[in-house]
Amino acid sequence: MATLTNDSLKRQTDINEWYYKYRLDTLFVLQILFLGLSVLVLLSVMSSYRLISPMFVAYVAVFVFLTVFLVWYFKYAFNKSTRDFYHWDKRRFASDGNVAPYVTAEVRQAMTQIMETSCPK
Amino acid sequence: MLSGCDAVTTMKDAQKPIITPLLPVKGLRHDEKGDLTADAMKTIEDGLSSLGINSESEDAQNAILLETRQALCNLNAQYQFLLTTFFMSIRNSEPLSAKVIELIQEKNTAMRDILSVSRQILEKIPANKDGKKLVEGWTNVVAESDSKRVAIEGFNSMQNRLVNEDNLLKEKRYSELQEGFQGIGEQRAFDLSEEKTRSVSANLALYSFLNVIAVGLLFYIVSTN
Repeated sequence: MATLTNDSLKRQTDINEWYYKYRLDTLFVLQILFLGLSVLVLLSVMSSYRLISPMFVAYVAVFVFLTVFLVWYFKYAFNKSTRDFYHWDKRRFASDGNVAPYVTAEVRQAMTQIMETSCPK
Repeated sequence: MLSGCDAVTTMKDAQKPIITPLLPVKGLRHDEKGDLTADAMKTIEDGLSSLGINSESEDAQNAILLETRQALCNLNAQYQFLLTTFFMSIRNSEPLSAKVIELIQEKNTAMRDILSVSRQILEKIPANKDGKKLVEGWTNVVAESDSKRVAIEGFNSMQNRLVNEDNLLKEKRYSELQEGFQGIGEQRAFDLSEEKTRSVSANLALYSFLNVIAVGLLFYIVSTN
């Protein structure tokens, strides 16, 4: 049997790994946002020099913000509904938690005896 | 201290003898603490002298320490492979190979001998205050004010661990040996996960800052138009 120290270390490593992946996910959204903002800044400068129409910049801005929002929302919804709470790379299924835990024959027999003793027919 | 060493992946590689001038002969004598005795140390120093190496000079001492690191790296890789093989046999309920146990003990003794030689050579070097000496070639030695003390502490802790593992093996307390072995791996995994989290947090902070700058710039350009 593993010691408490080893178990704690293992669990803390799992937590660190989860947070690492979570931050990596956030970093991905921030990078997309930064790319989009950089493009918008470039287009805005071009628009200020009358090289392109301001309406075109507005359309691109809507597209960029919508894309970033959709990426963020997809990740948020996936994390909330599907991702496992303990292991980042694992997904939850609808049947999770609905399966009866495995109980050995000895434990079942002992439980039946207790029930019969405490609640006689 | 032993990070970045090549891993051993076959039993053939694990059985290969490690040739180093730091262990010129087999059967060196040890005292009750497991350290090499004065006459064994003299044998090693004679061996080094015959190669034209004067362990009193600073350059030779640094070269000896680099050689120590390389020899320890190779031996440790073999030792880890043999221990993993040994634990796999226990897990699969296979008969334990006396040859593997003998090899594990042999590698353990060789590593302790090398640590003992290094420590005794290191003790001849005067304590330095600038923290530069001995750092080169020793990846995990922190450049503190007294790097000699740090290196000796590292040697001592590794030697104590090896002595403990040797005792557990001799007393056939295999489950305790396995627990300690797994503990090292878990500590390493924990350190790595901490480092990864720190790294990604730094990137997160950087991109947050860049995004703030980009939004500010965008507002500035739009407002001036």
